[in-house]
Amino acid sequence: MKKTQTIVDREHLSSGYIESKQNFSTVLSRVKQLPTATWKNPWFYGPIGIAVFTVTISIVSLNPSNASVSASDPINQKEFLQLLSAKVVAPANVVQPVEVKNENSSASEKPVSAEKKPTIQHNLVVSIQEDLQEKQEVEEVIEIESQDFGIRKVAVNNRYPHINGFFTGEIPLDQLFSEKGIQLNPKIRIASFDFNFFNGKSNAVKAINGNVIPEELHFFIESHNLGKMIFITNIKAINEYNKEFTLPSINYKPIKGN
Amino acid sequence: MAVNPVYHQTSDILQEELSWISSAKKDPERFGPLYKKYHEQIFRYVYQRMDDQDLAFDVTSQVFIKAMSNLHKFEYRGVPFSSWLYRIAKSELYQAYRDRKARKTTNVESMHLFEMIEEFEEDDSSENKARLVKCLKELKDGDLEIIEMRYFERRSYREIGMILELTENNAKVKAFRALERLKILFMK
Repeated sequence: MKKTQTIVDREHLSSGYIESKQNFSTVLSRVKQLPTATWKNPWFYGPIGIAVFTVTISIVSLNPSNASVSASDPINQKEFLQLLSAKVVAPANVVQPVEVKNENSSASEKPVSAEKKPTIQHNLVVSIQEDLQEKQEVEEVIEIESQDFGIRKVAVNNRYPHINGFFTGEIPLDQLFSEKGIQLNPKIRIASFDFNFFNGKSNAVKAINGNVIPEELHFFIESHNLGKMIFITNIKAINEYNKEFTLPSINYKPIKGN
Repeated sequence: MAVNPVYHQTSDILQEELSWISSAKKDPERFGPLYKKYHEQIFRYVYQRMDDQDLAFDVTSQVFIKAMSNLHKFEYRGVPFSSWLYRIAKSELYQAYRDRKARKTTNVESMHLFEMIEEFEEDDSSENKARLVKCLKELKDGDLEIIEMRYFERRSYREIGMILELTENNAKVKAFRALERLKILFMK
């Protein structure tokens, strides 16, 4: 570090001398010469401003995220972010028919007719955000049957993970350990997931490859988790283009029965 | 201890100064009275800390250029306009030390040194004076700065506090501790 030098008894400068060195006009002219910020210049709002505005507008209009969502589009992360913010209208096992919006339906499309609307109990209805819903076309429906729980309908291009049509809430043990495992729609395969349960001593997490909950966990679920919440998290899925992405977590309350 | 009349102002003078500032914010040419009032004060502050007179005048001009171009940012918070100028001056000084290779300097008068030696209850001999000058060089920058302001520039604690952004009491404590450290060095 540079050391400070000490000067003893330097010649004292008189106030008159210092005053004679004052030069306000030079200071003022140097202030006026200081460059002004680009955005403060009026010309900035002329050609540059127009150019920036045009480029911004074109970027916004070309942004693929603004394009309309088609029901047949492959599912991607962005859509899932939207889906995550979706409202669940009715919880599991609530008696309600499948809601299908059909604003632009034509004769060639396959609408769900009034008589076909399920009146069967234990249907699960999940409605996606309103704006997304408006864009969706009429969905083809797959019917899943079970003895006690009747028929549950799942859209072909469904975007929520489920086990045999159970999206959340109570699930019979046999359904939970069904060979079909976690499903979404035919285009998407579940690669792995984490299974969170109570093993009698503490909460445990088991990482599972594939989409089926292994039978070895049956004992733990039956002994310690009946009527309690279990969680399926970190669900990794692969779409038809081999692109991996994470699905929203699901949870169930296992109960006895088929 | 002498009191700096430019620094210790009555409320009328402060009000007048505020009106100059507000009109200078609208028109830079109206900064003139403020420049005239504070030029000497700022120059002496700068020149006290460097050995090159021309450079000191240049740095002083730079302080006023900065002040004028940033005047719109100035807000009156109950302290004189000069404390804001001192802060700019301090930053410009350090800039000069870095960029213009100006040499850090402390200017002292023999009289001040002898006063200090007397405070240490030692003889005011020329050997002791030389010893004290040597000790000043060994002091840390912060300590030297506050000793310089208090004992060589004769500033009040209030003024030191405003320049260094400290409370008056804190400035007093710091000055006392700096003097204690100098005394320890001197007594070695």
